[in-house]
Amino acid sequence: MTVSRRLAFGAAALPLALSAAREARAQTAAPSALDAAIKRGSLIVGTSLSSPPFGIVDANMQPDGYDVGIAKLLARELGVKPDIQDIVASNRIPSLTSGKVDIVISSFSITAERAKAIAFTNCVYVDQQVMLGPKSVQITGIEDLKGKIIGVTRSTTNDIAVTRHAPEGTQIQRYDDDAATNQAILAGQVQGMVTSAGGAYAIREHNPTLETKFIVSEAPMGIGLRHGDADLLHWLNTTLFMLWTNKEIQPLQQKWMGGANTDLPRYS
Amino acid sequence: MFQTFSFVHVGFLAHAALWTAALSAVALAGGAVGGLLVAGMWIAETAWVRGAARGFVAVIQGTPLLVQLFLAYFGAAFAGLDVPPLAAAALAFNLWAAAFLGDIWRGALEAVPREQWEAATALGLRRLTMLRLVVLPQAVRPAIPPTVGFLVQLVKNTALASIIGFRELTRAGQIVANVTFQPLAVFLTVAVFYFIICWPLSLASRRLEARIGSGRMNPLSERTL
Repeated sequence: MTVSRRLAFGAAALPLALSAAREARAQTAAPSALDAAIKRGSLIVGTSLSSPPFGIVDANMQPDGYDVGIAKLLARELGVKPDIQDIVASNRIPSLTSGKVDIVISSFSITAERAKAIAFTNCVYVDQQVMLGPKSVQITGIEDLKGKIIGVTRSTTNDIAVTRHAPEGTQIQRYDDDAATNQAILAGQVQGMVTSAGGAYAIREHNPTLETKFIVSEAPMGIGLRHGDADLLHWLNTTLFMLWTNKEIQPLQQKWMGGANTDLPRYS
Repeated sequence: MFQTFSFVHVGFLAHAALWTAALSAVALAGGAVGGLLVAGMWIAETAWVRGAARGFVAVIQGTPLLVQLFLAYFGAAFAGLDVPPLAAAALAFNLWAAAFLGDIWRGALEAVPREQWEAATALGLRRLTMLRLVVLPQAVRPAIPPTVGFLVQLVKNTALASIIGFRELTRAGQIVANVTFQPLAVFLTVAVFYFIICWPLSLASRRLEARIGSGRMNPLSERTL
């Protein structure tokens, strides 16, 4: 009895101890990740490598894709090497807050909810969230989802969008990673999936029996970084602005998404 | 941008399979040492030592491995320790394997009839000598099948380490599947690699059982010592 009570107390105290440790760390003014990256000689970027066309591997099994392209441009501008760390989508925020990576570029849609935990740069890409499905399945609008099984990657903005907009009676099947969601539609386990327009483009390229049905919502994507790092945030926004102005981002969008944004909205 | 599933990918998967095997081996080694300790503590004569072993097993068995991995990786980072994925995964799997192996082995120890322990005590054997000569030889055989069953599970559960950025077989499979869009071929290959790792374990288990012999053995025969 006492043992189990002590265990229960210990289990309850652990998260408290951890958050206390985190606060203690936050208060000792951490140096900017910008200086740390320059000193280290590399920019540690968290990217999911199983999210085409944002993060994939090339024919030599090296990181590739739109997000990796952006990471390489930023590292070049900083004068350091890009160090791409493969992270799964659901760990994008923990990877940042725990200090495992400097920044996250991983089809990271900007939301007010996420911005409570981490900071976002200006947009790197404005994506649309679209419904992708087989040509044989009749879906023209959001109401048609009733009674259908729709796949989506858990805790992504695609998940948030379909959960908010889908009518009652829609069976939402959530997978842990884009890899699993993509496999579900290719294997016919779901009758539709919500993904980014870029992702839909990548899948359609490979499987012509699938088509984009309709646009669910728009999704501006940014680069994620830790709160309270004004130096890094400002450097990233400045550099993104210059890369866009010098037309270095547009060809990447053309290459990976099949089309470039006409402009990138800025909020600072 | 997209590739056809080829030998390059198989090589990539084989490399990841080595990491899966390495993590399994580390977990097995650490888990075996820890498991012996836990089983030993469980049958100890001092109450608080027994309590500690029970408490440890209860906590590990009562929480998901996924959560333990998270704590070992992100939790340690919040506490100010920078633990690389391999170390965090090794730590979590060592503790996890120690709890389960400890529980399996103390079960096998307790399955040795009480009379054997009492008879050994009556003969004046000291506790360690009694364990070595009387109890352990009889506990080994019934412990083999559940131990191997657990090891096979362990190998497959290393897939969970992908969540903390450890690129093992399953994560490599996801990456390749997403660049080839041939999930069936990719995951069949992944399954073959898992089978190559797990099958020898099952085979070795059967060999070992056969070698130790069937039925009750004479605890003092030279063969078992």
